[in-house]
Amino acid sequence: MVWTLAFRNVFRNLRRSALTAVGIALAIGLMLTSMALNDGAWADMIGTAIRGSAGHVVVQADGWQADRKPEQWLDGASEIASALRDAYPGATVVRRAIVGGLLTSPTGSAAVELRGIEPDAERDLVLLDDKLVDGAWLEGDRGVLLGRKLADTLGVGLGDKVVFMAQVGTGEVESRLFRVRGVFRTGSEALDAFTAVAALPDVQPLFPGDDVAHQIAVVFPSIGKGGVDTSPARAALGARTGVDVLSWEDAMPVLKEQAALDAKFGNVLYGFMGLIVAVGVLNTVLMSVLERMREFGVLLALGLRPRDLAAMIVVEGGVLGLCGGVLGALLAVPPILWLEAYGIDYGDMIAQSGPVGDVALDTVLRAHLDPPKMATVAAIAAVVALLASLWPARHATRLHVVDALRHT
Amino acid sequence: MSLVEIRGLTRHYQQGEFTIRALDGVDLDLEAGSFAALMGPSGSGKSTLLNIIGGLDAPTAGVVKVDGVDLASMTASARSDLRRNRLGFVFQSYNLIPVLSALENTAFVLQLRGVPVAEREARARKALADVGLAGMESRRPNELSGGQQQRVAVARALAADPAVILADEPTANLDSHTGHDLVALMRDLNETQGTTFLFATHDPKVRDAARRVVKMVDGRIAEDVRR
Repeated sequence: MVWTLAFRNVFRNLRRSALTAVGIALAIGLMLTSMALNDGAWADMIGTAIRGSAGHVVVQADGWQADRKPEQWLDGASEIASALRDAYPGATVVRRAIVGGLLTSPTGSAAVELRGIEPDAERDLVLLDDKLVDGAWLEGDRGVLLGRKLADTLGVGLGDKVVFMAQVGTGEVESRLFRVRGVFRTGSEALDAFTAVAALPDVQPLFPGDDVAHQIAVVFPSIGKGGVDTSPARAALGARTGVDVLSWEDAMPVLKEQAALDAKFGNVLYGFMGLIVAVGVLNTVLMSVLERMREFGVLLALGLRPRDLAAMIVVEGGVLGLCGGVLGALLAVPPILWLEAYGIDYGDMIAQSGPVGDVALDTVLRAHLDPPKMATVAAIAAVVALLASLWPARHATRLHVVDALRHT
Repeated sequence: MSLVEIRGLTRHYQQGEFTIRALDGVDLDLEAGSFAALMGPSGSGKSTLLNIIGGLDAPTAGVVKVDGVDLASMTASARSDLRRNRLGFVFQSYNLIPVLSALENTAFVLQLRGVPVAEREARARKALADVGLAGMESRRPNELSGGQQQRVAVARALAADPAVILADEPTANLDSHTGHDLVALMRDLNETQGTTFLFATHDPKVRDAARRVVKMVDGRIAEDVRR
């Protein structure tokens, strides 16, 4: 009976209930769209950073994480990579050499970070392939890819020669000739002005050893919410010393902290939106309670227990919240799907900002549709509405029946 | 033993500096099967007495027993149970639940008692038929006339088969003809089914139909006539 009355009461003043539900729906829809964009942005950012900058699991020389000195390389990188492939079947394992130095051309020079990568394996990991504005992907033969701004600074174009010079810890300045094979534009001026990418075998000769790398990254096709397990990597490395095994969270602590900070900020924002929902429901339910005092008096006079009366009012609020929440979730689906498919290109907005990690981000902000999360938010809206109805319900249960019956 | 037993009942209200003595030492017994009317001018305490018997209001002093149970000893929840299980109410302004149909309104108290659907629907249909509303079961209160709504209210009280039906000015909002029919209906139910009625009323039609008339003045019983 309580449920029947509650449901019918919600639809009794259809216009008021509909307006409240639409208000809740708009707040929830906006919240979900914002959440989906935020989730999508962070998923892309973290995914990009993991693929291009670290890996889900990364093996580095001790001290590299803090100092990033060129001489902090790993010897026997191929052997380590092979052991990691055995430890993580199905994962992509790549070696990278990363060294800072001077890149010169006949008309200019610039400080750069040269990244030596495995072109075939990394083509699908880093996003540079998509961002080439000129030339083609690496195929060895001492080709190098330059950021657009770096190429402009050096005054070079496709096929031009550039020389990279660096001290790699031997005390001697080593140099290496490259030919410009491609020019990329990431959207981050810092990256475009500072990054050069070449094939690992063309970078390794800068170092005394012939099988060196600074990072060996393990990238999984996907990971669950439980995070990554670094213990197989540790087991694979056995008794090898001077090696550091890190998860992506440890390898990119700033990214993790930024994500956590953003989540906290988001939660505050969503808390305010929840408050708006609560106030809307409180207003509607309280109005509804105040204009039904006489009816409540009748219900109590007929023998309805006060706690059942309270339950009826709370259910009314919950139904309003649930309707609003579900409607809001449905309203949010089309914009989220559109934003997932097309996204928002914010490349121009971040041109002056720094990169996240040391990778090129996708400059298209895409939403991520997460049905379980949407269902949870709709349910939370119902709970918030339910809680907001507690006060009007308490008010109703304290009615003096005779006074309520005289109420007009 | 009387169905309702009242001894030394007083109910005072404080209004600013003034104390209003709505009931001032009332003694009354009501037997099962009664068809009794509380008469008297406005403010004489009729409705207050009815409300206290129904457990809707609490006395300042005195004892009210319904079925031998002292209302003062009951918790609010127990009084709810008493109203649900032993008492029926008919109010001046019908007071039906607007979102329920005539049938649902009539079955409401039975549903609160947990009576199975089939049984409560059968009893509600019979009660509606008894008050002349067969065929109007699915109508909502706003689809019924004032007289029909009051009949539903009587049917609601009847369907629950209470020990006593407390009716506060049940004919006040009805036209003369409808009021007359309703009084005749309740008197008929009293005679055929033995339902106990206690009215608070100004209506001469109720007075004329009543077998006992208790006249109240200034919160006291001035006259108690049995016919």
